[in-house]
Formats: sequence, structure tokens, C-alpha cells
Amino acid sequence: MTTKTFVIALAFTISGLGSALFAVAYALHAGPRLEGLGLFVAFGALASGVILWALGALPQEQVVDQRDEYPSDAKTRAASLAALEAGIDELDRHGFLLKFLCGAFGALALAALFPLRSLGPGFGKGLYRTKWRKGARVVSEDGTPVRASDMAIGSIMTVFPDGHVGDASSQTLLLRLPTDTIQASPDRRTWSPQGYAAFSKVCTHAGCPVGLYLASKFQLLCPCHQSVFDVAAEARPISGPAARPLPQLPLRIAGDGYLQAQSDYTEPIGPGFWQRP
Amino acid sequence: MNYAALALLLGMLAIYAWLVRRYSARRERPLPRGHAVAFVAMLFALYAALEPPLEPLADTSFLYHMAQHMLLIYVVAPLFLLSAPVMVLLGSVGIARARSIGGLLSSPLWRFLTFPVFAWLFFTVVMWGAHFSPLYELSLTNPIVHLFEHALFLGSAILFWQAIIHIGPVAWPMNFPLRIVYVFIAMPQSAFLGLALYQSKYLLYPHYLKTQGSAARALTDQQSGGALMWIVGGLLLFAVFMLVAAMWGRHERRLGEQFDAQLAAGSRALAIVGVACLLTGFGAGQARAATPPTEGEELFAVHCSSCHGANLEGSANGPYLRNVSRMKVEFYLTTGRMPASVPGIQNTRGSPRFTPSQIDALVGFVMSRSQGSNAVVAVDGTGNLQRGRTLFIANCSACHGATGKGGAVGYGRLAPNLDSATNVQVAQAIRIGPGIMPVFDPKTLDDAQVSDIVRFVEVLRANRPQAGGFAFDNVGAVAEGMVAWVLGLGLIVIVARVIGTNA
Amino acid sequence: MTIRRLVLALDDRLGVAPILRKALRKAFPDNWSFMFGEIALYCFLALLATGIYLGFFFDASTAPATYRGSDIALRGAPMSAAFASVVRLSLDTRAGLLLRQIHHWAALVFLAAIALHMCRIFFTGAFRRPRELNWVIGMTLLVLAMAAGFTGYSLPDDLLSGTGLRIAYSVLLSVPVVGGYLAFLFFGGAFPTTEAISRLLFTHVVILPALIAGAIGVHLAIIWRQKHTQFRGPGRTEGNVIGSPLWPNYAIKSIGLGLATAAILAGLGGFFQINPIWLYGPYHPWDVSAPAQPDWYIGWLEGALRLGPRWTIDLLHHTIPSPFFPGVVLPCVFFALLYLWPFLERWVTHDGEAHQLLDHPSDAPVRTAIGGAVLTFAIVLTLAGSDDVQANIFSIPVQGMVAAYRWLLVILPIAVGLLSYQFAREIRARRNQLPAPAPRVAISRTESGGFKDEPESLPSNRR
Repeated sequence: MTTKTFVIALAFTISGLGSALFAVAYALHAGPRLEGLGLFVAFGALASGVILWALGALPQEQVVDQRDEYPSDAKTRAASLAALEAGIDELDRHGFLLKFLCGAFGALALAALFPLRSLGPGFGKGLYRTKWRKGARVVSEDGTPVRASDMAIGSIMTVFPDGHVGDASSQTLLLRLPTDTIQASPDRRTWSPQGYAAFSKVCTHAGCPVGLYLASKFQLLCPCHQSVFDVAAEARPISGPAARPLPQLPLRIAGDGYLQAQSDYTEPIGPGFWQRP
Repeated sequence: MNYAALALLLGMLAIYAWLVRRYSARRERPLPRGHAVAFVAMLFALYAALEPPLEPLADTSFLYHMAQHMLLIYVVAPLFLLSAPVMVLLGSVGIARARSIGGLLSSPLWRFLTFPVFAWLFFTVVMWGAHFSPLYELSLTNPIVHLFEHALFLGSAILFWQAIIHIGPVAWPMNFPLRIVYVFIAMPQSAFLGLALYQSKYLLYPHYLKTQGSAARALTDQQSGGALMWIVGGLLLFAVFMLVAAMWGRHERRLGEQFDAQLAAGSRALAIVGVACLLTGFGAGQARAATPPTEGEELFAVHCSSCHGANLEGSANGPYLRNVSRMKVEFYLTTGRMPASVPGIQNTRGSPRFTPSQIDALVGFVMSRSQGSNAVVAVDGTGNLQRGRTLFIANCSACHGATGKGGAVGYGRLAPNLDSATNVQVAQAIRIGPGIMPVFDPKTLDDAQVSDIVRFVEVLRANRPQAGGFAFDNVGAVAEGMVAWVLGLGLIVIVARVIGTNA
Repeated sequence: MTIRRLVLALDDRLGVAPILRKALRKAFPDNWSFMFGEIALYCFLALLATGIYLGFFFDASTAPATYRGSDIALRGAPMSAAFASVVRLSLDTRAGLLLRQIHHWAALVFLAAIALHMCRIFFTGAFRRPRELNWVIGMTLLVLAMAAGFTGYSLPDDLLSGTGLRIAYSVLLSVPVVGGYLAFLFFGGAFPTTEAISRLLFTHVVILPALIAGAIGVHLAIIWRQKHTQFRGPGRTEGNVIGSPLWPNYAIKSIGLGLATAAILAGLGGFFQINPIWLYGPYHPWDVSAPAQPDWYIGWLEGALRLGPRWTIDLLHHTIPSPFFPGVVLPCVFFALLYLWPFLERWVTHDGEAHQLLDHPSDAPVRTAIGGAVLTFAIVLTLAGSDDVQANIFSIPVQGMVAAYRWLLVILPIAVGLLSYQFAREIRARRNQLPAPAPRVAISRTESGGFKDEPESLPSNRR
């Protein structure tokens, strides 16, 4: 046995040991590291052996192939074209039948499209409305109603309408801001009682939850594409790819001290779409 | 003998000696002798590399030229770093100048240059690029290009080594496993380059054809140079690898000892905090009596008053502290965010500058003058892990990440990694909202919920299973993509290169 | 012996002997850069093998499930059956995590190999007549592989992939006129839906693998029929092909490459953690974790969305929202350009000849320049897709990074294009200036330890 063949044989032996290691690791619940090591050694040693064999112990010959000629020679080409055209001529003798055939196939193809409709419901109101209604109580993620005295200035909370905790389109951020920082337009004067402001948590760019709150700057940042919204100024986008402000939920404080929605959002929440007015 | 070069080296020695003297005078303790020895050794190595007898030989032979480069890369560069140039420089100048130097060291450009991934890649690109581009041949004929080439080798080598030689302030401290990986992946890189030079059937640098006389001799010379890089370079890197591994072992042992010491100290600190809470419950006067005001006052005057004012009135550099809460003071001091080394930069976590008893004294002093809340947050380790996870994902993960590794939150602000925060610090941060973090007051998250979160973060730090193996510090898909390209496809392509030909 | 009898039996029934004789001695040029496609093929096989195993454990349901496995923090958390099944597979099934990690690593390397393979094909002009068809099939394979990767990444219903799916839904929704209908048909309603996971599973394990396997079959059949291209070299002409014989040399080498691929994927899967979904937790539409990144091959789309302009177009009570431009128009233009490249190039250069010899990138400076520019464009977008991670590492404001990347996206491709054009022309000119190429000389050691040089023999023998 030459050194070369000895080394290759050794590699194959090591590979066998690797396989054994994998089996033992599996049997002993040893976890991915030892199992992976076993497979790595098994495949790796096998690869080394095979490559050494190919490079070292096989004759290194080079062969020359001639390429086929493309295109085929003119005679064969002409003959095959002629055969094709003969058939077409044959069919063409009843040209109108050919048209009917195509029509029938077309109808079949169209009909086959119809079942696709069952894949999803119609494009309905799902995108236009959320579960917020007039008088809906604001509740936290665990369903506890939020009282107007509950939050300190500078804090933030994810809230839902009562009875719809976890509804994706109704997720809303409730923030309490210092009242003097809020710059509300005239029609939104009453929407943020005692500095409580609520904005849709669904980013108007690509729909991620706008979760990062930079409390000292009154800014919300979307972790997906880094759009920044200024919550003191009606959540207008001030940086990043989002083009529209986060819709604001009009709030009020009910007689019992709990926070309520004045109505649903006044515009569709989340990313834009064609039918959005 | 080249007197100009000798004068230059002596000049460098004089400057270093002068800096070391100033350093020792300012710091009131001498620089460890090892650094100075390293500097002198570096000068000798530099002289050996760039002066006769090696230099004239290097002009005519690739082997000696390679030896010259190896000296620069593997001896001069590490010795230079071991002589602690940055630490000596920072320590020997005044505070103002140290601050401006510190600003340079924390500038984005410097941080980018010294980022280990960049340093490694840059070094690799320089090594391969210099040998397989016209640069090398050009450097043999043009002395200015030659100088540039040596500067490039030395500069990239210093960048390469600074990632694992940590003396003085380091922008990117790497832990030992990372340093081992760093050196480990450099080994095949260097060996492959040496091998490529050794195996080449063609003369890469025609210049040596002239100096060596015949093609065969030039090729032997080229192969010897390649072999030198392959074998000696490999051995040197392996030695460094073993050295780092040995240092890791020593470090672990020390950590164990420190941990034992901390356990002992920790129980004492807990007792002190307990007493302090008890006393503050009865009123500030007793607290003042319990901790001698002189120590706290003195510490405050020395370390804090320049920014916060002698009477806590604040200044342009630091805020008013007369309404600061106890939790805030404790948080900033125990996380090493205060005292700030460079005002104006976001304060990041560091090791506390004071001992627990000094911190206690400082807190006592500040609270004796502050109207802020004396409340402390109770962390009893009884939190519910599952509830804690849910609350963490709902309230914290948007900034700190689901794995607690932190992230950028815009405007250069960072939500820090929670790995090194203690339970008390996590609870304090939730309550006080340091920096740009929102405040979570007891009505948003009650004490039990804070305990739950603290419990989860504790598990996140310590025991959350990294079942799948090396986790790249949970950077996520970016690290995974880089590994797939470099380690995955990169290695397979190397196999393909071995199997295939190169026509 | 058995093989011999098998061949004889087959020849008795099918007459395969002449085909076999030709096939076994077929010449395969074994330049190392011709093996990137093979690497992708072996990754696909690894994906099939591991994927079949994973399929037995996955529960494609969004029904609420209770997790009782070994990760204490996740016990009792509200989660879907799909997520719970993947966590169980990862943490409580022997070898489950290993195979899941190998599967994911193989997917990343699969796409990397395809990308590298396409670069090789592009820059050497291997797509030219008569190989336009295989270029188109290769492009299709790239698209299918990206789709397979994304659908697989989205299956576990974890916090990270759920966010990615939400973005994909929003991008689909942004298509004018039909976007809403498309999104509702694909997802079965407004996001999040209960149908999504099972549809993704069917797409991921049946439709896409079948299409990919079929396309690979056609791809290879065409290569077999047309024979491989080769670089210029001594003895190599447009009319021949020189290489190792398929049997045994090339076959054994290729098997070695396949085994090495398997070994490296197994090593990655065993030692490097990938997509630890149990750390991210189950998806809830209102939770989010930062930084959030997709797998690398979706990174350029993520980057495009991040750099995208803030345009939203309002037309008579209708809206074209901003993600439409970077999320739909840009990839469509990008892929259309790639698909049509062979035809565009032929149209511009009027070069309708068949080419069996490959170009050196410097032979076609304009192509190299455009390729370099487009590649740079894609790389800048990919980098922009992880700007928050870079911002975190380098302590640079994210907003500054976005501005910088917007500029780089314009400047860098132009710069790279111009530079590579100049570079390619320079190299070409230098090569043409050389009076006559010096005869290549092979140098070998003699018995006495010296060297002897002799003209290189043709065809060249390695070692």
C-alpha cells in the first residue's frame, strides 16, 4: 500500500468514525453540537478521501469533444419544416375548425380561472374599519380598562377596544403627553383629553407595529423601515419612507373616569391601497 | 550605517520616554515596565527590518523581502501596540487635551477603522492585494511606492492586531472566544497566500529575474518566500492562537475568583442598602447621620460638581439635581454612566468608578440635598418567568430586541444591551426611564410586573438556551448572511478551487 | 459485477450502450469557477433531504396551542400550533435542531451559490447565443429559490417572520387596481389570516420544490446537449471542448464537491445557531422586536423599502401608496433587465454569432461596467437593509445612514461602472499591446533538485 492509498483509506475510516459519533450523539441526546460534529466529520472525511482519490490516485487525463454543429444541416432543416407545414396545411383545409378549437381552449382556460375566486373573500370593508366604536372602552393588553388617572406623563401603552383584545387592525398606542406640547388642529381639539393621545399602532408605510417610543422627543419610530412620527404634532411623519401620519383615535373621558373612543378612526388605518379614498 | 534612520529611531525613543515621564508624574504611579520594554524592542525590530543587512538583500531577493514584511507585520506591529501608545498619550496630557483625543477615538471614522471585521478584511485585502497586483512590482522600482507599501503593511497590521491586543481604551473590546475565532480564521488566510506564492509556476515579479540572474533561481527564491510565509507565518499565528487561549484560561480563573469575592462583597452591600432604606424611611436626617456626609460631599466635589454644580444647581454640562430621585442617582452611578468621561456623548455603561460604599456615600449626600423621591424598587427574585416574557415582548423588545441585545433607536441613540445590567438596575431603569427611554410608572406596570420582567431579563442574560451553537451575540439575519457567504460558500468555493483548474 | 450486469440488462431492453459510451467519456471543462452551479445543486439536494425530515414534525395550523416543552419562559404563552411545533422540533426533538439549522444554512448558501454562479455567467458572457434559453431558466430558478426561501422563513409563525409576512402583504396591497384583490386571494382575507400558514406550507413544500426540480432538470439537459463553454486556451476552439472525462475523473471530483458541501452545511448546522425562533417568541400582530432583518437574499428589497421615496400618489379618490415603487416597480424592472439581458446585448452589439469560448471580463468593458454597476446597486440596497444594525454597531444615527445610502445608491454604481469600464479597457489594451505572448513554460524539479523548464504540452495536464 502506498502512502497515498493509506491516507485515502484512513480518511474513509475517519468518516466511519464520524457516522458512529453521530449515532452515539443521537442515542445519548447529546444535542446539535456533537450530532453536527459527527455529520461534519462523516461527510468531511469522505469528501477529503474522494477528492484525494480523484486528484492523486486517478490518471489526470484531458479529453477533447467535438461540438455538434448548430443549426442542423440545411437539408434536414428543410425536411422537418416541410413535415410541419404539411400538417398545418392539412389542418388549414378546415381553417374554421381550427378557430373553434382555439376558442374552446380559451373558454376552458377562462373557466379554470373561476375557482381561484374561492381562495379569498371579496375585497370588503375589512380594510376600511376597525373594531373601535363610539363609546368603546379603552382596555390594555390584558383586558383591564384604562382610567384617566392611570398613566404618568411620558408613558406609553398598547390598547384595544373592550371585547376585541388582540384585534390586529384595532391595535392602538395610548400615550400621555404634557398637554402644552400637543399641537392639535382645530377639528382635533377635543381628541386628546388631559394629554391622552391615541394613534393607530399600524405603520402607514408597510404595516409594522410602530413600537419604539423616544419619550423625551415625543417621537415614535417604526422598527421595520425607520419611519419617525411626531406624536406631539398629530403623528406626522418627519423622517423615513412613511408618507401619511398615523391615524388618530378621538378619545374622551367618560363620567366614571375611564377612557373611551369618541368614534372609530376617521380614516382607514395602516398602509395605503388603490381603493383608499 | 544610515544615520538619518538612526536619528529618527532615537527621536521616537526620546518622545516615548518623555511621554512616559509625564504619564508617571500625572498618574502618580509608574507605567508598567513591560510597555517600555516592548517599545524598545519594537525600535530594534524596526531597525532590523528596514536597515542593513536585511534591506539591501530585500531589494534583490523575494525571500528576504518577505522576511522584512514578516518582521513588520508579526513583530513590529504587535510590539508597538504592546507599548501602549494610546494609554501613554492619554495619560500624559491634560484633561482638556485628553478629551479631544477621546473625541477622536470615539469618532465614527476611527470606530469604523478599528471595527474587527473591517480590520481583519482590510489586513487580508492588503496582504493579497499587495502580492497579486502591480503594486508589488512597482514598489521594487520606485522607492516612494516602496515606502507607501511598507506603511500600508505596517498600518494594516496595526489595525489587525489592535482588535486583539487590548491596552488602554478600546473601541471594540472582543471577548476571548471572539479573539480566538479572529486569530483562527486568519491562519488559513495567511497559509493560503503563502501556499499560492509557493505553488505558483510563474514568476510573479519580473524584477527578480534581473536580480537573481535566471528564471529558475528567481522561481526558487519566490517559492522560498512563499514557504516562509506559509510555514513561519502559520507557526507565528498558531503561537498567538495558543497564547490567546492560555490568556482566556487565566482570565476565566480570575473571573471565578472575582465572582467569589463579589459574592462576599455583595452580601455586605445588600446589608448596607437595607440599612439605608430603613433609615431613609425615618427621614433624611438619620440617613445623613448614618453615612458621614464628609465622604459623599468630598466625592461629589471632586467628581460631580464641575458639571452638576457644588450645590447640585447644574450647569451647561450637566443637569440640575435638586429634584433627582434616589433610584436615578443609584442607577447612573452603579452602571458607570456617571461620572461621564466626555460630556455630550450618550452615556454608555461602564464599570462603576466608585466602590459600593463610595456610591452609598454619594447617594446619601445627593439625597440629603434633593427633594426627589427616596423610593427604592424591591427586587426579590420571585417574578413569574412566563408573564415576564409576555410583558417584555409587549413593552421592551421594540427597542431592546426580543433577545435583549439592544438596538439603534434613531438619532444615534442606542437602547443598550441588557447583558450586563443587574436585576436592580433593570428595575430602576423601568421606573426612571433613563435617557430617551419612556417611564413605566407603578400604574402602567405594577411592582409585581416589574419583578416578572426582571426575572425574565435575568433568564435572558444567563440561561436562555443558545441551543443551536455559536450565536454571534444574537445579531440575527445580518450575521447569518455574512456567515453563509464567508464560512459557507467561501469554504465550498475553496474546495472547488482545489478540485478545479485555473485556466 | 452487479453494475456490469445492470448495464447489460438495460442495453438488452433500451439499447443504452452507445449513449453510455459517449456519456462516460464526455469532456467537462474543470475550471473551478464552473462549479458554482454545482454547489447550488448540492445545496438543493441538502434542502430536499433535510426538508423531508422537517416536514414530518411541522403542524401548519394557526390554532391556539399550549407549549409544554423545555423552554420554561415560553410555557403557557399564547401561541399558534405552527410555532409550538417548530419550538418542539428545535428544543425537544433529537437531531431536530441540527436538521432545521442545516436546512436554513443550506437555503442561505443555496442562494449565495446561485448569485455567484449568475455573476460568473454574466461577466464571462456565457449567456450569449446559443445559451439565452438557459439564462432565462437560470433567472427563473433564482426567482423560485428566493420565493422558496421567503416562504420557508415565514413558516414558523415567529415574531420576526410574522413581521416580514406583514410587510409582504402590505407590498402586495400597494399594487394599483388589483393589489387588494391579490392580497386577499393570496392570504385568504385581511392580514393576519388563519389560512396563511397552510398555504405557505403547500407552496413551500410542493409547488416551489417541484418547479425548481423541473427547472433544474431542463437546465442540466440543455447544458448536456449544448456542452459546457470553456475559456480561451491552447487548443481550445469554438468547435471543441476540452476537459476531464465524466467517468471517472469529473464524476468523482463532483461527488467530492457534493460531499464537501454536505460537510460544511453540517458543520454550520451543528455549530452555528441560526434563526433561534424560541428566543423571538410567537407572532402577535401588535408585538415587534428590533432590529428586524430578513434573510440576506431579501435584504435588497428591505433596503429598497427603507430608502424608498415618500411618494404617495392620489388620483381621483384612488391611492398609489409609497411601497409600490421600491417594493414592486423596482424588483420588476430589475428582474426584467436581467431576464432580457442576452437579448438587449444582442440588439445593441448586433452580435448574433454563437459563442462557445468565454470572454474575459475585460473583453467586454461595457458589459462588465453595467454588470458591476447593477451588482453595486444591489449590494448598496442590501447594506441599506441592515442600516439599523450598522447604526447600532457604529453608533451612527439611523437617519444619517438613510441619507448616506440614498446618495450612495446613485453615486456608487456609476462610479463602479466607470471605474470597471476604464479598468477593463486598460487591461484589454495592455493585452493587445503585448507583441507576442511569451511561450508558457512549465517548470519542474529534476531528480538532482534543480529545475528544468519545457514548453507546456497540449492539452495541459495538471500536476
